[in-house]
Amino acid sequence: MGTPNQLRSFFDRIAAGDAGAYKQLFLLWHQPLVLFAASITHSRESAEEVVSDVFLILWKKRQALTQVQNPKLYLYVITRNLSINAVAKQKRQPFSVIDKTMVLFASLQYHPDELLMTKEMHQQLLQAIHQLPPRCQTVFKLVKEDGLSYKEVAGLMHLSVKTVENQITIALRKIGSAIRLTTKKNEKK
Amino acid sequence: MPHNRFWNLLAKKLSGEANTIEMAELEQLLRQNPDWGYAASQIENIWKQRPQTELLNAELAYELHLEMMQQKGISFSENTTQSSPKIKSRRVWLIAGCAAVTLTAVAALFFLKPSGATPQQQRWHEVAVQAGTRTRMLLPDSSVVYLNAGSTLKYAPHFGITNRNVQLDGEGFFEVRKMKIPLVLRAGNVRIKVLGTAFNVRAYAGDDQTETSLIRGKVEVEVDNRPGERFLLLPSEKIIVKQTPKNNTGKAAMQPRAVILTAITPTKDSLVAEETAWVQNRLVFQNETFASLVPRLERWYNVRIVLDSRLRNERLSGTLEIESVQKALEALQLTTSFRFRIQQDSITITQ
Repeated sequence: MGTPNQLRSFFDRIAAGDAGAYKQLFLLWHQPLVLFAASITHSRESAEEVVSDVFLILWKKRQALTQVQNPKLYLYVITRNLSINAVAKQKRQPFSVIDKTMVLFASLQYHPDELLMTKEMHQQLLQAIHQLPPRCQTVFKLVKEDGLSYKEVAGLMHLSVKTVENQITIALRKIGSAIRLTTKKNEKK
Repeated sequence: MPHNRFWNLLAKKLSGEANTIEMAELEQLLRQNPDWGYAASQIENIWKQRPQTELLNAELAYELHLEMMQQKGISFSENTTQSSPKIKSRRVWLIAGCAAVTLTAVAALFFLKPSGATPQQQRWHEVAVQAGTRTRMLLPDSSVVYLNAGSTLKYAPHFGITNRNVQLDGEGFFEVRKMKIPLVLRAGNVRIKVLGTAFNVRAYAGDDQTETSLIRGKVEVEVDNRPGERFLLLPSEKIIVKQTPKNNTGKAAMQPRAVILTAITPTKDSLVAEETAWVQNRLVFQNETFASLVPRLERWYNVRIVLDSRLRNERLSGTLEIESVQKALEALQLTTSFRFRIQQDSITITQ
């Protein structure tokens, strides 16, 4: 996803009308933003539409991009706003399919061997994450997978920094105890 | 509570929020509690995993995105020339040139290959779902298909690249990704052509009709033996194509008899239509005859049912969430009077 400076330079180049930079930015940020949008819309289809609209806005307003203070947060804030709009639209539209199996943690989709852990532990881990309350999952995901700071997540989700800190602590504690439980069980065997 | 403090500090360290004092405190806690070390190192290992890049097809999404911008009349390459016109227009040409070369290469691959291709590569891929289970699958173009019990879906070689041809025997709910190549679905006695949409098709081999219900978007339905006629479905519409059941002479029997255009049936829960309720693991039927419900129950619960002929025209309505077939029949007994006996996988229903 690149460093903050890289993103800054992408924004400046797009502001100058660089179509190549626009494409690169799209390819780099498509997946993380779709996954974030899906955590709000619960539908992959509408999450992809949201992200397409995010990039549409980016292009339409490209002249203003040089003035954006925090490019990364800017991407996430637009994505959040459009996702919330999409949810409102979904509610008005009957018969939408809610996809609860949406993958949020792209980094954990590897084979357990590649993660240097046993299959059992991998299962326990995914289950532990899955059982976290939805808000806790999203906060954890934004910090771990998307590399946002506590302060950025707080701003994005209208929470206090303290709450973000607590949510991450809860997530790690739950995951930690799942791992310890598995190892203890194996020791007894 | 030192335990909570430990996880709090570890989280801060991993997310880069910890200062030197907090880092030192974490070190100390780890030294005092060596049994936390293993879990902590596992979490660090997981934390450092970077997301898999191939989860979504970003290149494809980008093409769709440009198409969408074009449709909305937003000029993408031309208007970008304000800053440095000459370099810009050359870059556009370069991109166009690259695309042309890639296209030729791809075309060459697919036009030249067939002669040398092995039969393995030409075979259709097949996904079959047993009775009693349902599944959700992703096609290579990242369209999503839910398959109901006892259904088989086949898709053509090079699906998503040169074609999007699929065949269905049974029932499926399709959420089709928007692409230039239309998805063409063959099911029962109809051919359905779509670009990007969500729809449900029920066409089990033994059924006397093929049902296509549209939820979103637009689909075009062509009916066998009615060439030149195309039925365009709008959201919440359903098309039912009747057919004479197979006769002894065999294949010529799949002749469509009548085409009925109607509306899909909403349920009490307005978010779900009767036609797609099975996607949410619910078996919904409204004013359906016992005779036509029996094959659905058989597939849903993977059982054989023998129905007393006097009950065939009895009408039933209800919603069954995943339960045992025994509980399901007991629930039906509340509204309709009948008796049943279960012997292993076989059930006899009598008056």
